[in-house]
Amino acid sequence: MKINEFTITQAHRGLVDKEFSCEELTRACFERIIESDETINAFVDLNEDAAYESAREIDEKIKQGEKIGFLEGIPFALKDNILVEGLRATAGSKMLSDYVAPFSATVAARLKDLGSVLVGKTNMDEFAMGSSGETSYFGATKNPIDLTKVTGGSSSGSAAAIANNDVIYALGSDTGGSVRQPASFCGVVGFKPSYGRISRHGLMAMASSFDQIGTITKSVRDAALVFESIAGKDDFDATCLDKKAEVMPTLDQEIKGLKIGVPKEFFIEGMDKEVAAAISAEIKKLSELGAEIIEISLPKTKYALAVYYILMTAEVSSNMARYDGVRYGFRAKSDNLSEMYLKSRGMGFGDEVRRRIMLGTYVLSSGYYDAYYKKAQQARRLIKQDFDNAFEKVDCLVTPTTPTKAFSLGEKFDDPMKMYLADIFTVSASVAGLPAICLPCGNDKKSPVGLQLLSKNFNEAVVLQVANNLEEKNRAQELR
Amino acid sequence: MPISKKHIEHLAELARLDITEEEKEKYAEQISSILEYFEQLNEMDTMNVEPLAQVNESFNSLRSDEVLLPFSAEKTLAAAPQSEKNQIKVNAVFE
Repeated sequence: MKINEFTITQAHRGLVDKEFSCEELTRACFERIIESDETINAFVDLNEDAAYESAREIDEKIKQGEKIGFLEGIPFALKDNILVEGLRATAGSKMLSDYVAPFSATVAARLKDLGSVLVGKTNMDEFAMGSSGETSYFGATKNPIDLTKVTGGSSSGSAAAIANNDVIYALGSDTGGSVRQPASFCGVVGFKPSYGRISRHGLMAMASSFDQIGTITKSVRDAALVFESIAGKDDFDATCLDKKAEVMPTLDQEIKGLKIGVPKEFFIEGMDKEVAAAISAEIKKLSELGAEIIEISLPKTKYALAVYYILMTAEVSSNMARYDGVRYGFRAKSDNLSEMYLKSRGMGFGDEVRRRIMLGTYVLSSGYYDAYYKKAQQARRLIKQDFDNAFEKVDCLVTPTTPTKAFSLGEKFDDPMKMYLADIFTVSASVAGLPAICLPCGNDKKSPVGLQLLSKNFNEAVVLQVANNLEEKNRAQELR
Repeated sequence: MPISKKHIEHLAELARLDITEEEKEKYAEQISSILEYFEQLNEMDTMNVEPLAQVNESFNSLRSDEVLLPFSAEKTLAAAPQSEKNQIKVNAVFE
């Protein structure tokens, strides 16, 4: 096993035991990226000089016998809609292709303070709008498991970077499934904490009542470690709650007696047979681990996708108004001010972003507001009530992450409605603001299926505990 | 409900997006089919349901009223496509 393939726990132990230096670990990551990224296209920018510099500082610390933190010296990547002072932040768009961030996002600042080593910024669907990684101005990211397949999106580069062992861990953002869906397609662990857990200061806003930063890692334990490190109150994000994020103490506790719900609406007729079979096998394992499996119903599930796409596009149309060519970003040559707005936005935004802005403008316009926007907000409350009712009976829910395995590049690109349907199982948790994790089923490394676990708001601990137990069981089976 | 090419023109104007004739046709077709999908919400009885804007209970988030300089005017201005004398420059607003 090469050192760039390590989890955080393994890499940390290696550094502490002086089996390798932080510089060697960092170099192993860059070498992997340099040999494969021309094909995979997971990165928009690399941060080589600064990464080696901080790696050497940490090596010095270790040499002096100083204790290092869990994330200290661990190479990681950030999705390119997360700002790091002095580095380019493109959000996968022509609009920001020359934009250099004047300040750092709270998550980036926290990880820097903890001594983690930033290797680079990852490719993504333009402004996080897409479910395949194909809408990036810098070209699609390819799935490292099968280069003819999409990675999923929108955190395409972050998921590919983990699957390809380019870095040890990565951050993405999840508005309707953008961390979980690519994790599912790439066979890695994608974790979206509850809405309000992690500061979004310095994350480019897409749909503010849904956006949440999430982790992409090689193990559930790594997700828990990074989550505890970046969660918590921030004066710069008023939606970020002052609640203790403690998940490690329960991570290894057994799940005997926990009640796990299987919502029948997520197992629909006509769904991919291999996906259904893989999920059923995992549910059986949960039962073997002592959990009580209970079939339940979330009757409003089928409306979640429409609710999500109405509210999200409305919020997108409002958030994207800031890109007008005046203060930063792309400005088109033009004769007058009005033409400058029209052309800068028309030329700076790609197809999917423009489509969503127009849809959002439509659902918010007078005469249609009540029929779409208000109706969807009312439906959002009913969907949340569905979940509230379910969590009176069960501790968490298990579902597939996606209705199919990774689809082929280009397969859904010209049909937006078909593409939106790829999010059908991930949007519910976003609509209700719930914590959700995607982890690979079983040990199929060649053609992964993602399993999703959800719990009630701020109960990340149980989601991670169940996921960790299942992952351990699968690992034990693989070793046998 | 199908949406016309003329309606797309109006939306693009409202959203300040310069799009081609060809794109107007394409967006009219695609947005119509998405709106058709949205129609299913009409099956839901939402009578007397309070709209939900935020999933978490609303709360006050207060901080002390201190002057901070999280980023410099210089760096912020450097991001502007055009600037002059420490100000962002655009085309004339009034002719």
